[in-house]
Amino acid sequence: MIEFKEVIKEYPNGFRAVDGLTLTARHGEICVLIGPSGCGKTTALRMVNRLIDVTRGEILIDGQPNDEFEPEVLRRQIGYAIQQIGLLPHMTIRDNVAIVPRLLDWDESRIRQRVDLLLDMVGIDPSIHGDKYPRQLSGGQQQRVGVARALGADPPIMLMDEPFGAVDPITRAILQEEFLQIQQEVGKTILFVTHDIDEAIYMGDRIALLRAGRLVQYDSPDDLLAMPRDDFAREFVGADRSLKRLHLISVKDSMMQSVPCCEHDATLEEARACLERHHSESAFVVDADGILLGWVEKAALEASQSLSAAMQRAPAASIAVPEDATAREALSVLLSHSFDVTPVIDADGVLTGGVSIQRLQDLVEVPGIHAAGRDGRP
Amino acid sequence: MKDTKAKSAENGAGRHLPFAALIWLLVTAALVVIGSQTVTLQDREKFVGDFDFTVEKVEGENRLILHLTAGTFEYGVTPEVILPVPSGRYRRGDADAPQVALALFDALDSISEVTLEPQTITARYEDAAADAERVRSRLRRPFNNAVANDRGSITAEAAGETIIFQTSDERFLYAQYQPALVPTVEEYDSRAAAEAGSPLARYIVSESRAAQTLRLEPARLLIGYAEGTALEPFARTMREILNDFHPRASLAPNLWLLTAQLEIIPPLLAIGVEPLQTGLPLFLFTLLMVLVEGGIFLLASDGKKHLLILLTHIASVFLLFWSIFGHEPLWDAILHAIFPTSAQLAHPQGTVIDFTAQHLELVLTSSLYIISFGLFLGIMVTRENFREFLPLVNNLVNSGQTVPTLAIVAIMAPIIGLGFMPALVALIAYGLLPVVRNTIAGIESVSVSIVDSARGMGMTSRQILLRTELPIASRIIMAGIRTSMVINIGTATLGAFVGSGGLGIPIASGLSMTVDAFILLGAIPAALLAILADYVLGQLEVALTPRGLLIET
Repeated sequence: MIEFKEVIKEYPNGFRAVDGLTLTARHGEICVLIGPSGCGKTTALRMVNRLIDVTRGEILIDGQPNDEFEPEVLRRQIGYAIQQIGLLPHMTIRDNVAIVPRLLDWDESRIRQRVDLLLDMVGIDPSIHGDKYPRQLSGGQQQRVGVARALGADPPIMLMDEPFGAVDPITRAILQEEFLQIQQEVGKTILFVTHDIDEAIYMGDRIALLRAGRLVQYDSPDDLLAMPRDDFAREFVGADRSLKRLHLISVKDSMMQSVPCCEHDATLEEARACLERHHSESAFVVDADGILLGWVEKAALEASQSLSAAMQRAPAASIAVPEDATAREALSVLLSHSFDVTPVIDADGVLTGGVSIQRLQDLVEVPGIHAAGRDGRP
Repeated sequence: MKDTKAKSAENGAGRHLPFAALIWLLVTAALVVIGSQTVTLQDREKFVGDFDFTVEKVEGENRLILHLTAGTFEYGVTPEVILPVPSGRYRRGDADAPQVALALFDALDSISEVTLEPQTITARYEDAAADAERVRSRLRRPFNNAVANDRGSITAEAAGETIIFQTSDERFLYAQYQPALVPTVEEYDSRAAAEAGSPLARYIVSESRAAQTLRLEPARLLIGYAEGTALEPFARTMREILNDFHPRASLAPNLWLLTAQLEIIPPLLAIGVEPLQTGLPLFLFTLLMVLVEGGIFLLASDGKKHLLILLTHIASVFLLFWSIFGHEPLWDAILHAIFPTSAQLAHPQGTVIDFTAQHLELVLTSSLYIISFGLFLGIMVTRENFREFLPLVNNLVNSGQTVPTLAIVAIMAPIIGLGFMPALVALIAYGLLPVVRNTIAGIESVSVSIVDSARGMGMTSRQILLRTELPIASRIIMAGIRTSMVINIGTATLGAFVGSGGLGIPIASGLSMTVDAFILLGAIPAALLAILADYVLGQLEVALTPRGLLIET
């Protein structure tokens, strides 16, 4: 747990980079510090491991003021990863990851085990890359090694300053996803600085929005999006904040169980009755096992002799979304087809429900009910 | 499974080593063929010359003449024991005059009286016409030869008709020498006379029953032999016994003295490691080096062992150069080929190896100071607390190189006096810039984010310096040291103008006496030294650069 208590950083010229910050990053949570450049987020981060000294106030780490430690001793207990990565170019990948354990005088066999474990964890094969040098790796690989290095001595707390900032968007998305998986395993208390609201929403358990050294809002991603406290916050999270919220919601949590649907060998009457029942213009067609085969339009039913002649067949993947997709993806499919409802299928292709535009509107109007945690996320 | 790129970075510098070693081996072999019997480098024994003789029969007489093939006999002495200089006043001809006084009397006829005190030696000369400065320069070398103290600490001061030598040591020491060969002409017209003569004369008649009359000259020995003696076997015997008489010379006594002065390997001297000899022993030694190198090369590919190969390699290259430099007949042959008509080929003040040793002493000593000062300054001004001194230090080292070396020497001479010290100070002032500048540039080339992450991980300032900044800066720093040392080798020739010795001596005297051969005698070795230093330091530069930094991005 990291607690900021009325922390002020004032420079000799009177400029306050951090101005009365009070904030608690709870145990095992990712707390994202975000804000425009110059808002003091990096300064706040660097005060935790005393790379910058606090002018007034105090920072507690698991209840203990951080100035009770020697700076070096403190830093060795806190993982540190930065955007520029800062791998030491003259050391091999293994040696880089082993830096903190060596500073802590671990014995070599334990270091070796730990290093190979961490490299495996971040997706770097130690037998292939372990003895290479940083310059022989790609940017994305280097970022992974940077994360492994920060985890080196298994610190309870990690400070990450835009750790995925230096790579292309695709690699960044992969790294973010993988890091969340690692975090589920290791459960560190993480202070995470970024300027990218999407990253903050995706990565953060809670987001602290800073402006000119002051805390504007400290909330869960969903609450921040749903209820920006003031104009600044509203502007910062963006006009598409509803879309961003949808990104936080999984289809499984938001879908309706009941959708217009009929089996492919149903009679025309049965199909019509189904449409009537749901007040719908179209219905999905499934086989005996419930697997989505296609859809049928009301107009086509009128003109055809049988359901199989009236239905449109289509591969399920092109018209439906899987259960673990986000509500945002469901909306996207909804927009690109003429259905009222986007069908949802499980891993076997079985139709399990659907998402309607009305349903999505209901979701984003109600603040706070979908701060379900990251279990629902991809 | 190793990346090919890493592999080539690993072996890149090492791959050509066996070839280079092979070439060195061939060159040493050639040296063995050219003249394996010649022994030179007799500085300690004060023997200048060549041990091989050509034989000439005097027509109509039972006499043969042994000509020295090169050089001149001066005198041969073997050092016995180092003693404090006794106090006292000695006049020319005094029977009990100690070695130091005798050396001064020998060096200059006009010296009539020498006064010895623990820290001061005063010589009075009676030649009103003689220039005090000239007297001093005439006396310096014999005096330095006679006194066993570190000559860097001895100063000489000439005032009118006295010249005063002073030491900064507690007292003067001198080596008690035993004369073995005489420098002047000696003539003995019977075996009986020879048996009462100089050590060399006594030796010849005691070793050969056939030898009858002797005339010993600096450059040749005339030996009369008994009626009925077969000439060829006699000549052979003579050559053999004369070779036996002289103590075997060593490859590089000056080198060992030099390193002893630098206090790098005095323990080696203490346990009696003999310096190497020229010719076959050198060949065998180089062969051994090559085998060792090859062994390491075959058995290991690890980075540390690669450095080891390089060090053996550099050592053998260095020894090879040293033996070439010490190969007097080679120099004679080269100079003779260039200046067939020149009467003088051998420099009167010493051999190439003498000058080279002095030169290296000057270069290595000054470089040692330059590297330690330079690294210290460069590291200091890049520390957070001393950063404000950065412009000051920059200006200082810049001005050190802006002022011409000769000017610095000229400024230093009146303050410190002539000799080794002013040259040393000038070289240090001149050579600091590349080292300081590259140290600063190297450390500043380490990106801020690397230092930040090192600090963020909990390295102390000292660990950041030693484990992060210096390793990453090492290549740039080594390049600075290399530049500094190569320049230094050239600049050190100017030291001759203040009497610091070195390869500038033959150049300076060649210029003033218009003997072109002397100029080359200084210039060629100086150029070779600079090339050698550049090569060796270049290799070291690559070897000392961490492998991770050699990889192209």
